[in-house]
Amino acid sequence: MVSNRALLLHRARSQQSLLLVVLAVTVVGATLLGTFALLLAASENRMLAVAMEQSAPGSREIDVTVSSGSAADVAGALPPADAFLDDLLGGLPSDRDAWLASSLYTIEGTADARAPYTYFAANAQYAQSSTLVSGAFPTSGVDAAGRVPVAVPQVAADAYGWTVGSVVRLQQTSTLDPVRAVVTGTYRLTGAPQTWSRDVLDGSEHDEAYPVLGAGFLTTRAWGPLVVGDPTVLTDGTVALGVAHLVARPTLADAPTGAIDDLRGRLDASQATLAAAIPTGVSALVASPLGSTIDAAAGDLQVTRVTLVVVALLLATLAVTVLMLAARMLSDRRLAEQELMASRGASRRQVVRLALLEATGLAVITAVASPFLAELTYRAIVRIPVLERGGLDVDPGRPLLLWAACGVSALVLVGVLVIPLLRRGERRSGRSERGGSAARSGADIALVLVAGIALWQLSSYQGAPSGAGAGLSSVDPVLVLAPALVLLAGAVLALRCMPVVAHLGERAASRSRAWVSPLAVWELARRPARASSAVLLVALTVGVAAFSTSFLQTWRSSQQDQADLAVGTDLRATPALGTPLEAGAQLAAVPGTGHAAPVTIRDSTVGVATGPGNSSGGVPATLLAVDTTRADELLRGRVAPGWGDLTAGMGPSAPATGVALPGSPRFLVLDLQTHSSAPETAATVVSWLVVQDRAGARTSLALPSLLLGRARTDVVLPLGAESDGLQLVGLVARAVPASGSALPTPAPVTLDLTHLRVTSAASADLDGADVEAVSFAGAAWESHASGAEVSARADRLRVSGDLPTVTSFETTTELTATTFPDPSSGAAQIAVLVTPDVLDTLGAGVGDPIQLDVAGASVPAVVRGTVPYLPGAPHGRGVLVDEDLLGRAVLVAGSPGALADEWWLAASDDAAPGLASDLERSAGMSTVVRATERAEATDGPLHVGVQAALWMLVTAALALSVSGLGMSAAVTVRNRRLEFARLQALGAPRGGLVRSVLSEHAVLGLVGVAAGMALGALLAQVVAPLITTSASGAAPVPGVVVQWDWSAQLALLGILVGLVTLVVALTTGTLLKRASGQLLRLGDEQ
Amino acid sequence: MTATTTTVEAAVRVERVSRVYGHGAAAVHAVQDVSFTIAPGELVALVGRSGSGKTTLLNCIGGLDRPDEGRVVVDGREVSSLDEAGLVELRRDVVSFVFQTFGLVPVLSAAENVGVPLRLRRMPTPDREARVQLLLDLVGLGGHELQRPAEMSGGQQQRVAIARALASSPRLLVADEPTGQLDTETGTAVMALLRAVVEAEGMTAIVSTHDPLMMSLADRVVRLADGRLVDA
Repeated sequence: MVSNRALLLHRARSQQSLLLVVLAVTVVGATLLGTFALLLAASENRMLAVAMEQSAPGSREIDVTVSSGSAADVAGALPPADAFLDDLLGGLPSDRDAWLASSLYTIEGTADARAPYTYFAANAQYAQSSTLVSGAFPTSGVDAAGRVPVAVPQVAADAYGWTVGSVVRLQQTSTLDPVRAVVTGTYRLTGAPQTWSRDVLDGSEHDEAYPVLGAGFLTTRAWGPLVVGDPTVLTDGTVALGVAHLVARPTLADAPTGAIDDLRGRLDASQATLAAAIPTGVSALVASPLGSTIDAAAGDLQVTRVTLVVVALLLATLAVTVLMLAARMLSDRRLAEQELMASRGASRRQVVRLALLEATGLAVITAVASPFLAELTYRAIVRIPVLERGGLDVDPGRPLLLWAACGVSALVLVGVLVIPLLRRGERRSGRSERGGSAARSGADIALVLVAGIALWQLSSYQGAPSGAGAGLSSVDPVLVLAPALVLLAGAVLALRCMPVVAHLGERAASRSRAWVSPLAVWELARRPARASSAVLLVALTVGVAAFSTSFLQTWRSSQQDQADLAVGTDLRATPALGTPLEAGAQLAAVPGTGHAAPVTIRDSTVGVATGPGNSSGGVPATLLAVDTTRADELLRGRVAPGWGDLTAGMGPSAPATGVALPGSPRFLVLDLQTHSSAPETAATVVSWLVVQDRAGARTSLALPSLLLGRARTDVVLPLGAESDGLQLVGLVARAVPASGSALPTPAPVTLDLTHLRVTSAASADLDGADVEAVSFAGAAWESHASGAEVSARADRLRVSGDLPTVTSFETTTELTATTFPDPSSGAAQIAVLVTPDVLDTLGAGVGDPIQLDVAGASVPAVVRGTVPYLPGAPHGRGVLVDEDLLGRAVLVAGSPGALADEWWLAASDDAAPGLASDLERSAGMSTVVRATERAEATDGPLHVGVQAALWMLVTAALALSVSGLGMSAAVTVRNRRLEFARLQALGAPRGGLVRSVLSEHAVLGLVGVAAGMALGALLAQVVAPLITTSASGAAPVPGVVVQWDWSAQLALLGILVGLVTLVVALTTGTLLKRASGQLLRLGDEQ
Repeated sequence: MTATTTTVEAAVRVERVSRVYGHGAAAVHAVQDVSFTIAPGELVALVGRSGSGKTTLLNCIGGLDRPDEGRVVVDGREVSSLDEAGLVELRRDVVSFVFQTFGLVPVLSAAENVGVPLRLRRMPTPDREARVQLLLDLVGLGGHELQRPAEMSGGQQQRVAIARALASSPRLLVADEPTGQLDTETGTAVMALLRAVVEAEGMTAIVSTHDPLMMSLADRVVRLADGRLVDA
């Protein structure tokens, strides 16, 4: 052993440069694998937690609702409910919140016909999301006089004249226990509607028709809440506790490994667990979107995991190749030495032992150093802002996976250094050499065949095969193994091209008068084994880098395409409540939303039209109605030839105009009257006035129902908002005969609307308010029902028709009139675009008439063409139609239903988030921003791992390529130093020799780069579409378009060539010594 | 110490050359205060026992080593003061080496090995090929052009090495024990070849050897013992 050690140390000293290069390459390879292991571990352990933490707070809430007829029971159930939440969360920290509300109390001493209701409530949100109008919120539970200090809604204070200091007498509705409350302040609730989902009146503060307890058909007024200063008044019996919501929002950012999975499991059984924990007689319900949120995030993670495993295998292939290259070069260097030792009597065991000792030394250094270097590398990489935002910037620790990756790398090094020695044994005979060559050829053919099968298998996948599963075990083996197999097989094929290239080079060299490049070509042609390792390395690294670059661009592009199409426009705003008119006014009040377009997006039914108003069958489909004249501006999502071209000509030829309503009115006022010449017929006339705002959104304002022969004067219609540019565009009316009152002959019925006025008064009390008369004759009115007539003059709009007879199939008389013609009358037809599956299902074709059922109306249309998907509703069957024409047709069909489900806005990526924030804050709208969704799709915590992996793979490919070729150059110089010395003795300058080594590597690089680029392109075309999926793992919509950006590829190649040239030149220039007699003599001794 | 007195400029002048390897107590004086000259066209045999400093002296003459003291002038150039470019030019155009272990590039054929010095001088391909053929014929290896060193005997390899040394028509041929690894018969043939080609090409040569035959073929014998000149 002593002699072995001495020999090892002596050799290490004399060959320190070679050993350092091999060690450096080994450590680089192991470090990269270790870094990737950390990324995988972080993905598994951290990304789910980070994604959960970054999810909307509401999606993590757990709500336990406890209620009972007995206040004492509810109060008694709170501690076990709280304990249940503790058990459910399993020690995870959480924000807790309690919404307490009393049972209903009647307000005594009011002038109301029935005693109005109110209730006490306690929650910090009442003070946080409200505007204090007067006084203050209470701070104590009960005052010295035994009264409960409360803050009351301003609307209640207005109704009953309460001011600060007023004492309100209340009585519990079931026990009749009296309570006195003293007003400390008045408030007005603000905040989005969802803020008040746990409030008894949903934050509305007032309900004019609240059902009377025990008499559901009767209603009374309800007000509330009376906000108390101390929640204990609701639990200590001062007032009767009616319902309690205990809300927990777990903090999952630092959840230990497996804690979220455990929580998910407990959520499934949570209702049963709660029921067992709560005393009988108390209703307790647990509700939470957390399970769904975890499932969705886990699905996303699984999709990411598939890509990470694919990348990991590619990286492992690269790293092992480099390790084998290092080992092979070291083995070659040792071969002559080992043969010398054997010739001087060393046994094979001694030779192997020496090699094992040396390999073990290198492996130990690698195994010990690389985990720490990997940790440092990981920390450096995750400082990239996008990874930091994705939550990867955490202490990765040193998980078992890291040690395993680095340890296996070290073991591979030992294996490739020692195993060939074990097999080498005696000097090979020519026969065994031939046998080995045949075996290698056979192995190559087998590899190519297997890779071919894998490629064919991949190509046969119809959709994204990754699916969503529980863990790594569910990853498709073909999908993750095929890329590495194809890469290896392609690189092996590239090696087979080397002799051809070298032969061509030799022929050129023989004709050349130079010596630099011929020397390089001779070396490549006549020592092919040395060349093959380098070509293999270059082909693999370039292939991986090219694939990674393309896949990264493809993946990002696809995620962004999917986000674009899923959102459908730049900014979608959904009003919380109210009419389209109110929503339009809210939008108009927010700067920058001037071009918001009303959009209908809802489920509908589509059938083949078989006659007026009739269709055969019908299939459910998503209906998207949007202003097609602004399609290019509004619609997003990749489609050819563009939404504007696809929808060109689908819009109206002219905008719908009606009776202009001057100024910015808040109310319409008019008189109503119905007539019939058949007084024996009983019928009710129901009607709506249709007002259109500047954006074209139409709102139907319900008029009071009138029995035939009745009249109403000064009917006030609140518009709900103050808007200018309003127009009256329609009257939807129908006369509904009472059952059994139909006559054998038609009886005319007339509806008169007279004295239309508008006012901007603040309240419906019009006394003294400024009103302005509006002429009905400001537009041309048309009736649309058979036999119905419309006439308009300045002060009257009259619609008339015949009531249905007893023999008629009709049950009502349509009296609808509009200021525009029927968009489907005569030659005019409403054109629609449908998804191909609509036509397939209906058995229809382009040009066929169809029928759309929307808003209670049946709208005829014609299929103009097909679109692959709809913006905003990319999955399933869909129909795209112009919003204005659809709205006209719905009105013409006699439906007052509102169509504006959402408002779509065109906005720049920079402006949209701010605009959305304004809309949410000031208008209480919920919004979806395309730019945000795009960013989330690529840079969100569950997706950023893909980018990190690909960046790491590109970096690793560069690092391994540079270090591998640097090592190749170092070993070349070291092994050929005597040859170089002799050439220098013949007069060859050192610079020429360095250029020769560079030329040698340039040829190797050329073959490797060509093969690598071809392989990268092949993998990108075949594999990238398969592992580019939607967040749920399904095939993406729109389909994947493989991105192959030559500028990016060439830039990457330029960096690679530059670095390799630099490293090879530096290595060769440094190691290639001046020729000396000493060197020549040393060489002779070898 | 000066060997001959002549009006002709010496091809090689070695003046008080010393070369020491190592330092202090471990210092080895490979060559000590050696001076002699070689006339143009002269074939000098440098003899001495192993370790006497022959190779060190030859390396100093050929520019592969630098003396610690003294100077070497070859073809009017002071070798010991030449920079890297000057040394490259010296080896390419003035001095050629024949090594004991032949020094052929193993991956090249006989013809390619011989052609290397001509490529270094960027000789046109047809001229190069003709000269290579001429030289291989001269050393008796016509027909062995495509053979690689591993496929040839030691004698054949040394013939290729001699042909390569002659390729660039050097003014000085430095041969370090060219027959050291050859059997007697082959060595004799190589020596005869060397003598013949030196005469034929009219070049100067210095050959280190133990071989009495070579000594007999030389114009003059220079003897070294323990790094000192004992007989010139």
